[in-house]
Amino acid sequence: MPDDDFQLAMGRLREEFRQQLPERLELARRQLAACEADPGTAELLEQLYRTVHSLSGASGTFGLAELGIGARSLELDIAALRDRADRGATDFTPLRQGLQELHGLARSAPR
Amino acid sequence: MSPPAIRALVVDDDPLIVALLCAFLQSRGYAAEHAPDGASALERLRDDGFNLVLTDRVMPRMDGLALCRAIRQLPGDSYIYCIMLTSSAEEESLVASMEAGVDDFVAKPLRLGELGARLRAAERVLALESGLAQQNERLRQAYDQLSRELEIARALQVGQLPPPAAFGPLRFDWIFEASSYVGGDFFDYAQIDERHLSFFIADVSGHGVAAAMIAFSAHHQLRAASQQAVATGSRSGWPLGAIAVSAVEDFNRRFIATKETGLYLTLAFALVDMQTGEVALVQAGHPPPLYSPAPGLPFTPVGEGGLPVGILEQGGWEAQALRLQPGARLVLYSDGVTDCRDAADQPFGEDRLRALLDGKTGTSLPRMRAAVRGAMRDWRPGTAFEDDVSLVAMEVR
Repeated sequence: MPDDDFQLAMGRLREEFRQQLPERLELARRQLAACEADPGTAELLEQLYRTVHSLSGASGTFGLAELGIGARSLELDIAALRDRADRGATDFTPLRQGLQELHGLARSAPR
Repeated sequence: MSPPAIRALVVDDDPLIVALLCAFLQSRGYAAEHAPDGASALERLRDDGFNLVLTDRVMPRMDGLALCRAIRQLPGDSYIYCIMLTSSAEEESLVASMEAGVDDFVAKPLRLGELGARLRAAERVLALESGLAQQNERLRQAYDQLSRELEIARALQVGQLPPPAAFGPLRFDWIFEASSYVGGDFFDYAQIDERHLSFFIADVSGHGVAAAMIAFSAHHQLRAASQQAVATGSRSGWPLGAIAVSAVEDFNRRFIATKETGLYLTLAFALVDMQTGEVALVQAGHPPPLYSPAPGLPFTPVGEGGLPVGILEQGGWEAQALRLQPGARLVLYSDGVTDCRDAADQPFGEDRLRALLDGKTGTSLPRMRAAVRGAMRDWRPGTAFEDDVSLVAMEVR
């Protein structure tokens, strides 16, 4: 694939990522709700972790640096909670706030 | 040497990251395929041909660390270079990743300039690995060919040995255990005319195909020299010892004239007069023959060394005389017997050999031979001999 073709592909993927953002954030919101309803199930928290991990890596890669940094911060918070065995529903409140911030960053992301 | 073509597998559960990486790899001329998780990737990698893996660390089913560990367990000779895409650069994570078999890391968010540099490093490593693999293949082919040639040489060597035989009252038997490297031992006993019989053992210096080929040639030269010396000496009325020395001197001239290898050989050569029972024994650098004049009498060494064949034009050899009586035994052997080392690196030694033979003077020749063979195998159980083990015995009945 010549370099020009790659640049075209990169532009297309960037746009596609922006379009997917609401859907990805909505997935994270549903997964967080599931965790709050069932705080003890590790797999639910793991699913949320993978979603935010993907969002963190992809955001920075596709040019949304601030969103990437915010997602990375949330990813670390989830990892810390994942290591705790005595999780309760209220422990997820900071994560909910973090996710709200990601919504804000996504809306204000430069075009 | 052209660099190897790169066939990459991208492993990530984010389809957009996968699409980006595949496009980037293809822009560099790589073949790029993808899998959504470690377990799927491992299935793809069982199909030989991938030499580069770019994998995310966090994935469902099988994560990147487990995938890299599994890759290092895959059968196959070619190396798969693994690059981990990671957002966690903590030291603990790096150590765990490298122990899992990860070769390099690329941080997320991806910076394509950095990724390009990492891929150039991968290309260099894979080019080195490919060159090494090609060299190894050439070495393997050369080794296989050499092994086949050694096997053929060994088979020819064994095929040249005479069967156990009897000539009038004289009976011959032997043991021969070929070394793992193909040695240069040969021995023979053959009636030359109605009266004379030659009986010899020789050991070409060194091992391998060269020594084996020299042994073939020398065997024929020695037979021819023996026949020539007996014919000339009989016509001229030479004593037996002079005929034997003449045979060895003629053989030495033939050997020196033809050899171009720098090899030499040691020889114990006996010429037997079957009418009188007289034996003329010439020793040319070979371990001394062992002689027991009658059943129950111990074996003693005969001869004092002498110069090996192939060193000087004039060897100055002399003949030792024996007179055979019924029940006498003469044993010729190579240093592969006495120098054979056990697991504690102790040589078998002449004393042990003589004691073994002394204990068997009252038994039949085949029993004595079987006892020596058993003792040698017990001395070095389960491992190949480092040198040919040859022992040939003559008995007067």
